[in-house]
Amino acid sequence: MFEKIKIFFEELETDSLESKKDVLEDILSLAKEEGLIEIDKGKKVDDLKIVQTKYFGKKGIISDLMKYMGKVSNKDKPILGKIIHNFKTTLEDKLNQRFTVLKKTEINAKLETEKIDITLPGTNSQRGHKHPLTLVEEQIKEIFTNIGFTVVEGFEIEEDYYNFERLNIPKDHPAREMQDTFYLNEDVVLRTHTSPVQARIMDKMCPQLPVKIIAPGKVFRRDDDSTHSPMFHQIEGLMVDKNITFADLKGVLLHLVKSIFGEERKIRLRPSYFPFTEPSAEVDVSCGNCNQEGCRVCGYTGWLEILGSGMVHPSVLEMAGYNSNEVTGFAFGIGIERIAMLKYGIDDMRLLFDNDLRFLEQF
Amino acid sequence: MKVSLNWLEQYFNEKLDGFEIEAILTKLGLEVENREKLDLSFSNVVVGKIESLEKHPNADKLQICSINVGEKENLQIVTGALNIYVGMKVPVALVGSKVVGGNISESKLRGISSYGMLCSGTELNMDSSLLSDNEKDGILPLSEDLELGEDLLDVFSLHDEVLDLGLTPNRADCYGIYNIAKEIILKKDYKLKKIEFLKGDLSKENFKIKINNENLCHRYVARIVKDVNIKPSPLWFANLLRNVGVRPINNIVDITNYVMFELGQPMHAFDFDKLEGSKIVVEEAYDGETFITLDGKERKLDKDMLLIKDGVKAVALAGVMGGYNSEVDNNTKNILFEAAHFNSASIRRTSRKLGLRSEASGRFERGLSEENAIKAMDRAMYLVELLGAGKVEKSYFEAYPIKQIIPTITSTTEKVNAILGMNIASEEIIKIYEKLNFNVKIEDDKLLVTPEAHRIDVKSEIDLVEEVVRIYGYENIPATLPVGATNTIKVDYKIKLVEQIKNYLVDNGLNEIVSYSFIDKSSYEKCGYATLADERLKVMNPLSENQSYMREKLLPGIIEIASRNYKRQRRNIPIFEIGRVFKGTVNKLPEETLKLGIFILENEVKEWYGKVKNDFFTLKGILEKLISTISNKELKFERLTELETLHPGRAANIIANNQIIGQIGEIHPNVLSEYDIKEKAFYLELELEGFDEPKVKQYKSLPKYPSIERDMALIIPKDLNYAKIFKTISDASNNMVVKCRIFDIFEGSQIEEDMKSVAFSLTYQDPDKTMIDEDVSTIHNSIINTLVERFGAKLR
Repeated sequence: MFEKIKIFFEELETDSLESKKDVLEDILSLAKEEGLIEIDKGKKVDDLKIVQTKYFGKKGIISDLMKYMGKVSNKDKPILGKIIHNFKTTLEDKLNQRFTVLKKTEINAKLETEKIDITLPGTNSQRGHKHPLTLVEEQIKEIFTNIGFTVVEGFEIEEDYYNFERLNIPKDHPAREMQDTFYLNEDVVLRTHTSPVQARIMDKMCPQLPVKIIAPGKVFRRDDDSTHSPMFHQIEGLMVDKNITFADLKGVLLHLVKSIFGEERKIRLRPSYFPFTEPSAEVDVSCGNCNQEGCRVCGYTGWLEILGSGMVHPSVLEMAGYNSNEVTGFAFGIGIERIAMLKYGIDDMRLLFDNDLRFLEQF
Repeated sequence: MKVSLNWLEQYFNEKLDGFEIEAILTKLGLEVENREKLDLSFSNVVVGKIESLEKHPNADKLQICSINVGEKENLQIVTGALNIYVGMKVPVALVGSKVVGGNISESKLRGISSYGMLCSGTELNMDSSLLSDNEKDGILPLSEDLELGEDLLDVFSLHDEVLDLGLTPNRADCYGIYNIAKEIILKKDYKLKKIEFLKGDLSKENFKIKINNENLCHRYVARIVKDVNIKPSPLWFANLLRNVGVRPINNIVDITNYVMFELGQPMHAFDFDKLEGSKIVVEEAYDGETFITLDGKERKLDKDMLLIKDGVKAVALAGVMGGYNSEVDNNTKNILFEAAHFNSASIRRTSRKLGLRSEASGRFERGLSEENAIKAMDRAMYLVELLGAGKVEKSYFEAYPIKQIIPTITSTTEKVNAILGMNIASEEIIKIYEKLNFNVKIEDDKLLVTPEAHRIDVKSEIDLVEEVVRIYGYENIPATLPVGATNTIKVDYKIKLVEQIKNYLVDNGLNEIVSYSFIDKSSYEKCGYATLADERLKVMNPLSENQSYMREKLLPGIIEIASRNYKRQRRNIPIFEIGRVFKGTVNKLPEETLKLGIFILENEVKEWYGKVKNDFFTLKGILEKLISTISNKELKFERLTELETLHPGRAANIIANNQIIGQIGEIHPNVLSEYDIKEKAFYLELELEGFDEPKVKQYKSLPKYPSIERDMALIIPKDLNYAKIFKTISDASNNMVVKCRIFDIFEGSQIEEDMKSVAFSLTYQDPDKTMIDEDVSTIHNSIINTLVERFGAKLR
C-alpha cells in the first residue's frame, strides 16, 4: 500500500488532487478495510494496543500519511486533509469501540474470579436484646407520654408512711394483709407497689394542677411461686385535675389496652377494692387467644385480668393538700410482668427472672 | 370464702344457676375465684349394710362381705378393710360406678368374685379436714338411720355447686352468706326470704358481764341454753356445713358455725357448768400468762391479748379460739353462747403473734358491725329450738358500752355524676339506695342516706358513689378522654439517659438482664469485696437467706446469672443490667444509686474470617463509645490494684471530672472460680448519677490547612504507659500534634528485657498555616528528644 501511495504522490501533478482523489480513496479504502479487520481480530486489550500503534503511533500509518500534507500544493491540502481525516476517524471510532468492548470483557473476567460466597454470615453482626420487661415498660411509657403524661420515679425502699399510711392504709388496716410486705425496719419497707409515688408527686406539685404522671419501677412482695415473684415491676399512673371522672379513667385505659394489644380488643371493668381509690376497678382485657370463646389461658372466662385502678380516694387527695371537693383524679397500677406474659405468650413468670440467654435473645 | 348454692337457695323461692350467680357476683365486685360442681367426683355409690362377714379362704388380709343395698339379693364384695363389722352401714360403689381413683367393675380377688367396692371418705372426694378421726380411718361409717340403696350424692346433698369467693377487705359482711343473698337481689329480681330469729329479753339478773377495756370490746352478748342434748346435727344441716368446708362436730358447735357462715358473726359456746364465777369478764392478759386453747395447745400470751374470763380463770382467747377448760363435750348439760364485737386490730395482732388463724379471727380482723352480735345470737337461739338442741332461756345478758354509730351521709346527684362522668337521674340513684335497703331522706337537692347496719364500709359520700356505680353497672360507664390544662412536669434526664444507654448497648451486642435487688450476704465475699454487707440493708423478714440483703453492688446478681448461663454450656455471655443499688445512711431511707453493670466473657472462637475474642479493651471500647454517646465527659483511667474483685494488673478506676464513677477490669480468677466460670471475664460497673443533659455543642470551624502524618518507632521502658507518652508528645509538640495513634506494640526476645517497642503515627496540623516538611521535622525531632531525655527512649 505504501508503495502505491508513494507512486500516486510521485505521479501527482500540482493542484490535480481534486480530479485524482478517487484513486487515492480507493487505495485508502482497501487499507481501511484491512485495518478494520485487524481491529476485529484483536481479542485482548494488548492486541489492540499493537494495532493502535500500527495506525496511530509516531511511526504509524496515519503519521506517514500526514507527511504528504507538506508535499502537496496549498490547494490540494484541504482535499488531502479531508481524505486522511476520514480514514483516521473511521479507524479511530472502530478502535475505541473495540477497546470499550474488550475492557469490559476483561474486567468482567477479572471480577468473575473475585467471586465470594455471599451467603456467608456477616462479621460482627450480633445484636443484643432488651429484656422483655423493658420492652413493655418502654411501650407503655410511650403510650402515656404521647397523651401528655410525664415519667417520674420513686424510691424502691420507702417509708411505711408513704407506702401505706398516705394511701389510706393505716397500721392494722386489714388491707395490709393484701400485700405481704418486706421490712427493713419498723418504718421502712421495700415498696409493695408503685403507689407511694402518688403521694410523693402530689406533695411536690400541690397546689399546681394538673398532676399527670406515670411511674415505672420495681416492687416487692413476700410471694414466690410460678405466678408470683418476690420482686416484680409496676407502672403507676396518676392524673389529678379539676373534673377528672371515672369515665375518663375508662377511656384512658381503653386507649392503653388497644395500643398494646390491638384495636379489636375490649376491656371490662369490675368493681374491686383498693384503700386508696374509690370507686375502684379491676380491669380485664378480652382474651386474644380464644377471642372470648373460652380457653386455658383465660381460665374459660374470656377475660384476662391486667391491672387495678380507680378514682383517687378523697382522703389521699386531702393528705396531699388538695381540696377533694374541687379536685378529682384517677390512678392505676399495671403489672408489667403480667402484660409481658400476655403479650409474648410467656407461660411461666420465673422465666422473666431466670435470664436464660436463650430466652432473652427471643425478644 | 366458700358459698354453696344449696345454702343460698334457702333464701329464695327460685332455683339458682351457678354460672349466672358467678356473673352477678363478679359484676358486683365479689370476685369468684373458683366454681365447683360437687356431684362430679363419684356416681352410683349407695348406702349398704354389711349383713355377714367371712374370711377369704385364700388370703389372710381379705374378707368377703354380704351387703344389702336394698335389692332382693345381697351383693358379694371382697374387701381388705379393717374397720368394718356386721350391721355397719357403709358406702357401696356398685359395678359400673365411678369413685375418686377409678371406675368399679366386677372382679375376682384371689378366686372369689367381688361385685363392687366399699368406700372411704377420700374415695368420695371428702377432704380429710371434713372427716373426724374415726371417719378418716378406712371405710366411711354411715349413720344407722339411712335408707338402704340411697344414693350417696343425695345422702350428702352433693347436687350442689360451691363458689369460692376472694373477698376484698371492705366487704367483711359478705363472710355471711345471707349478706351475699342481699347482694344477689341487687342484680336479680328475686324476693329475699326473711330468716327467723328467737329474740329474748335483756336480763337484769345477777349474771354479770364486765368489759375492762371498752375499746377492745364494744359489745358482748351472752345467752344460756339449758338441758342440751349433745348429738350430731341432722344430715341436711351437717351437709350445708360440709359443703362450705366445715366439719360437722355436734349440734351446738355446728349451730355456732352455721351462724358464722350465715351472718358473718363468729360465736362461741361455753360449757356453762365449767364456768366458775357466774360472770364474764373481758380483759387483757398479763405478760407471760399461759392458756390452753381448744386444740389442746398451750399459748403464751402478752398484755395486748384479750381474754374472756369467768371471774376465776380464763376461758377463751377472745375472737380467736375457745379454751380447752370450757369446751363443750358429750356430757355438757348447759351452754352459754357468746356473740361479741372485738376490736379488729387487736384480734389481728393476737392471731398474728400466736400464729393462730381461725375462721373466727379472720372475720373479726376484717371488722364487723356491733349490731350483728345480737342478730347472730337470736338466730342461733332459733336454730337451737329448730334442731331441738336444748331449752333456750328467755332472757339474755349484754354489755354494750360503745354503740355502733350508723352515719347519715349527705350527697347530691350532681356530685355523684361529676365523679363518675355520667348522667344518672336522681330517681335512679334513689332506687339504687332503696334496693340496698339504705334509708333515704330528700332535703332540697340533697339526699340524706343511712346505710344498713352491716355495711360498715359505707361511711362517706364517695362510698355512696361507689355503691351507685357498682349497682348501675361498670359496663354502663362511658369511655371518655380527659380534657384540661397541659402538663408542665419536667422529665428527669436520667429517664431518657437510661433508655439511650440501653439502646446503645443492645446495638452493640449486649443483652439486658434483670436480677433481684436482694442478694445473699455471702456474695460480697464471693465477689472479693473487702466490706461486708451493711446490716442497715438487711431485710427483716426475707423469704430466704440468699435474698436477705438489699444489694450495694450489681456484680453479685450479674455474675450469678452469667454463671447460670455458663453452666448451660453458654460461652457467648455479653450481658448488662441497669438498676439501683443501695447504701445505708443515717437517714431513714437508704441512698438509692442507679448503676450500670456490663459483663462479657472472653469467649475465644474461630469464625470463618478468623479468631475473635473479647478482652479488657473490648470492654473499654464499649465504655468509651458509650460515654461519648451520652455525654461530653472526658474519661480517665487509673490503675486499680487493691481490689480482690478484679485482676490487680488489669483493672482501673473510671474517672470523670476528677471523680471515680466506676471500675473496669478483668474479673479476678478467684471470683470466677467461686462461680464456676473457667474462662476470663471482664466487668465494669458505672454509676449513672451525675450524667446531666450534655450542653449543646457549639460548632468549630473546620481546619483550613492540610495535616501531615509521620510515624515514630521507639524502644521505651515497659512500665511507661500510653497515657503518659501521649501527654508528653502533646506537650512537646506545642499542640501541633492533633492525633496520636498507636499501631504497634511489641515485647520479646529482640528487645531488652525491661523495654518494649511501640510505634506511633502522629498527625501534625497547624491551625494557622500549611505546614512544610521542615516544620514537621523540627517538632518531630524535638518530641523524640524529649522522650529520649525523659524516659530513656531509644529510636528504632
